[in-house]
Amino acid sequence: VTDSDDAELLQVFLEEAREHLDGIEGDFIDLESKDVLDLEVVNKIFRAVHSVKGGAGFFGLDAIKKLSHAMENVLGLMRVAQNKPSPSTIGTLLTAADTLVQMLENTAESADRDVSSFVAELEAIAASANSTQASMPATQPLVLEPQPTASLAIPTAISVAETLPDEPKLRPATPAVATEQPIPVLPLDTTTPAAATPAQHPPAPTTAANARPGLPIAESSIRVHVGILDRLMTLAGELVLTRNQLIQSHEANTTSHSEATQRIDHITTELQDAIMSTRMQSVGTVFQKFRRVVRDLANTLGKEVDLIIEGEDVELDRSIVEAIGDPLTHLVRNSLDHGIERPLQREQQGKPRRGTLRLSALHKAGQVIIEIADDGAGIDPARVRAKALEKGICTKEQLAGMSESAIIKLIFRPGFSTATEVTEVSGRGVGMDVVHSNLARLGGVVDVQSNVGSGTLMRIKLPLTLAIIPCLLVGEERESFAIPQANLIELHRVPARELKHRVKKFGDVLVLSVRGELIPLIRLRDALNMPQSSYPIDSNERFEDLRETGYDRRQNPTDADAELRSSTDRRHSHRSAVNIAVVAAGELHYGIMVETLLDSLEIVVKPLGRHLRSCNSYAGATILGDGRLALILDVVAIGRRLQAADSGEALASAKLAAQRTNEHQDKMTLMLVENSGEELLAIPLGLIERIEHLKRSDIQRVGGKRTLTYRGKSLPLIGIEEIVNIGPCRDVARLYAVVYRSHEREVGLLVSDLVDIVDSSADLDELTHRQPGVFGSLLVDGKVTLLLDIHDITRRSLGITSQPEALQPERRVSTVLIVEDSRFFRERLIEFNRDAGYNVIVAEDGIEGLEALEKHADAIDLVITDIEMPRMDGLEFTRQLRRISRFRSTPVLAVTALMGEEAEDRGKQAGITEYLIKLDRERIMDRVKYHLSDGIRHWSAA
Amino acid sequence: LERSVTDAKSSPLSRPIQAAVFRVGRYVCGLFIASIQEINKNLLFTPVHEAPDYVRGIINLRGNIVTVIDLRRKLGLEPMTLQQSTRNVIVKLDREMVGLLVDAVDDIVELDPASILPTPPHLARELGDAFDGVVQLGNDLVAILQLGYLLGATTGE
Repeated sequence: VTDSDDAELLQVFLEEAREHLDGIEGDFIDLESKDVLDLEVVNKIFRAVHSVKGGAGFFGLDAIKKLSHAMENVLGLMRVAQNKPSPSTIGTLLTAADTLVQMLENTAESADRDVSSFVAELEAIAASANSTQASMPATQPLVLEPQPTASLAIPTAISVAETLPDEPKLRPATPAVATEQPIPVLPLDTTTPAAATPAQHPPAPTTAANARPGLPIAESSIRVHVGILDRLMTLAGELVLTRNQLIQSHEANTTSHSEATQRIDHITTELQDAIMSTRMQSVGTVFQKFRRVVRDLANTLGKEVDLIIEGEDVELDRSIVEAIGDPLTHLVRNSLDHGIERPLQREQQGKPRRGTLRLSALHKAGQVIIEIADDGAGIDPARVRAKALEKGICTKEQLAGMSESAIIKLIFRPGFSTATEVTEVSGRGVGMDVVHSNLARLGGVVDVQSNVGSGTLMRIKLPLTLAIIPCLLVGEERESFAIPQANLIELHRVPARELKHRVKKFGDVLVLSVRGELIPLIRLRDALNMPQSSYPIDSNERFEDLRETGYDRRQNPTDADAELRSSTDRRHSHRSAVNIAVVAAGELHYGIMVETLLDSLEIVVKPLGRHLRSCNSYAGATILGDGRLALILDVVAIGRRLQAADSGEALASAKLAAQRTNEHQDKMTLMLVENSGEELLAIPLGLIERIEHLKRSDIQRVGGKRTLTYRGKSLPLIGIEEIVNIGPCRDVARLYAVVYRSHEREVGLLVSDLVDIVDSSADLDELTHRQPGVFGSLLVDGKVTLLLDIHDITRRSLGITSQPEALQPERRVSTVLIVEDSRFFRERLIEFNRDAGYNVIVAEDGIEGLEALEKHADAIDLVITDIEMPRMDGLEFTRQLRRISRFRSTPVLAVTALMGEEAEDRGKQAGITEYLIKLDRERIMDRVKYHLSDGIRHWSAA
Repeated sequence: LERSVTDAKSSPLSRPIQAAVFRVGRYVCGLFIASIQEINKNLLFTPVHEAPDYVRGIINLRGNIVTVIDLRRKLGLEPMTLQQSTRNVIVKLDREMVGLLVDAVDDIVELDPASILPTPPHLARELGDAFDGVVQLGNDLVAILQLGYLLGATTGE
């Protein structure tokens, strides 16, 4: 046998040995988990260890041989004794198996490894099992349960042969193996060095070839080098791209080779799937190792835990299977360390002594979902809250507005660790945030649900593969970038007119308001530090031209500045809209503002070269259908920098500031219109029913009044200039009628142009521009704007004299409490109510309101309150009011700038009777009257 | 427009090594063709923002993403201005293809390894490890590029 033959044989032996040993860890744990000894399993382990021993002997790997021999002895005795081994015996065997694996990984150095202590330990176990007197209990920390020795009398050869049914088939020539199997008379002296043992033990050297008992290797699988699979994958990717290209050119070219194109399309897709599946690996390979992890950890922690594994067959891309090991380990350790309680504690709480940890995987909608669920203590939101405060992760104000589940999710924030003490098992400073970002890097998402006392569920969603991923293609500065769909939450197209409400700037931080929540926003070009002009990608430009353009731009830096400004401004102009992709980078959600949304497509991820490793904004690049390249954005890395840049604080304070402005300032949503083109006029948006676009020729004049006839009805039209001292309506062919209800009819206010819709919290100047039909003036974007009193305009224009209905002679004049912090709105409400003949009591916020309730308890019949007020808002005020028995059924009308269903629901819960729009005099007074007459009826009936 | 390096004529000299000679700013550089994959005019760079300044961008070379290095910048000169003569010299570095942007490729020559001299002190001082040595070729002093240097020790490998 030549050296190279030897080496080859050794390689075969090592591969097989590894295969054998791969399974035995799980087998040992199986053995331990069953109530009675499972001989099948013992035999399986025995065979595995035995063939390792045989091979090791053949190749002269003495240390391996000694160790496996000692293990074999213990296993042999176990078989004979038919007694379940103690956990400590299993522990020793497991450690021994680990050592075997390590030695096999490095056979050259295995000889130097001192295995005598292991061998001694194993021999001690064997000896104690073997000895009738258990002679040395004191020196043996690891002891098999004392057992009757009668079974030792059974001829070993028979027992071995019976329990090794597979052996004869595979090795017909060697019944000797079985008979020679020593269920040996071991030296009782446990300190005897291992060298003493081999003598009793001369099994015929088993060659690697005939030591192939173990795994049922069917012909349906072959070994393929991973590199070849990677190459196939690359080729499939190429084909996908070519296919895309073909389809593209085909679409441009019409129908000629449509069949061929279709076929290529199908074949490519199938090939891609097939090749992809060669890279798939079952998640079980990862799950299996947790049996050991859980067993060892539970022992260390003094806990009793059953591990349930489900969905081991679920397959994932190799690279993902490899990458999820660490995050999963962390989560499992967390569950055992912090989640599942000690047995005593569990019993005290009426839970079963043994905790359960469930590890499961399933396919769902093209993704794999992995769950780690325990029935432990759960995560206590109160503790998380305290910790978040202590570590400065959140402020009190932020926490106050968070739901419990949102608070629990704080555990994914950097620097968070719930373990009060750093234990060896989990809390190591790095924590859940690392798990979170590692998973996010794989395109995964982790979510947590927890109930105090009943357990925690971690749910991880992962893509099936990383090699070909669906992406959104976006454009910025004529370059294309890909955002992985896995990171993408939603797309927003914000029209320019909404931009001011939706996007706000606090210092350097842009924030986007999404359904009432503020998330950080970054322009793609800022995120990547793109220069204003980069090299155009257009291939057809000649190089000379290229240089010229470059030169021009350098010549005129101010132009670039202007361009920057104008591109910013452009977004505010009427027609344009900005595109915002909201992405998730772990816990952080943020928006990326891009110029254009291009396409949604599957791309093949290609790595970037070594020189670009420092650019961590990119996860790679891809080749588009037309051969151009697009960089793939690493949403997690960009998000991390975004967070670091404002160190969370700027953003947090921006959010707070925004919340404050939202909360305590009376924002009015105004529609800005123009009439003569000289003045800017504002109408509260809440009062407007609709807008009609009409031709000047549509307007009819009847008896000096203008009307618009449509749908068989006539709409009175009012020119603002009739009442308000402003320039006449511009002479344009088409104008707008702002339609609203006033004095029990619909009327249209004619304007020449609609300018914008804005949120204004500016102070109203009620003096300078006060005149009929105008409340006063306010500044909108630095321009003086007249706020129209449309009800006053209607009344004056249509010649309605004061109140249409005279005050009814009531037995008692009702009293209305008005709670409103803004002087302007407060005075309007006072005016409305006084004009209607009611008594008015005034309070400037909720607390004053409560004081007024106390003071005038008997007088107040109805309450009108603002919602957003300092000190105490309208909701809290109403809640407190409802607790006073006198006011349990008093009507409470809330006035707001603009209604939202959600806000309305909250208001109803707090006890608000009805929601009304500020300044809607008619509607407000109509409802006041309705509720008061109702109230009076009750009152008089009582 | 691609010029395959294998087209170069062989020479009767004993055990010569073929090398491509090209200009990079004021330097005349040489690279043994064994390490050259191809020379082309693929200059359709996609910029990579935040990349080191000597990286001009990436290109698509038959399905491979290739980083293109502005060799002028790498050698401490002004950035390359693209011209008709500009070429992309594709080399293989540790299994990765990298493009080197050069002003012009002059010739493929055969060099006697014995004629390679140590880098003159003034060059060595300026560019340290950029060159393996120099060869006198006619009136030009050809500096033999050291690929290891281009591997980008400066990028923090």
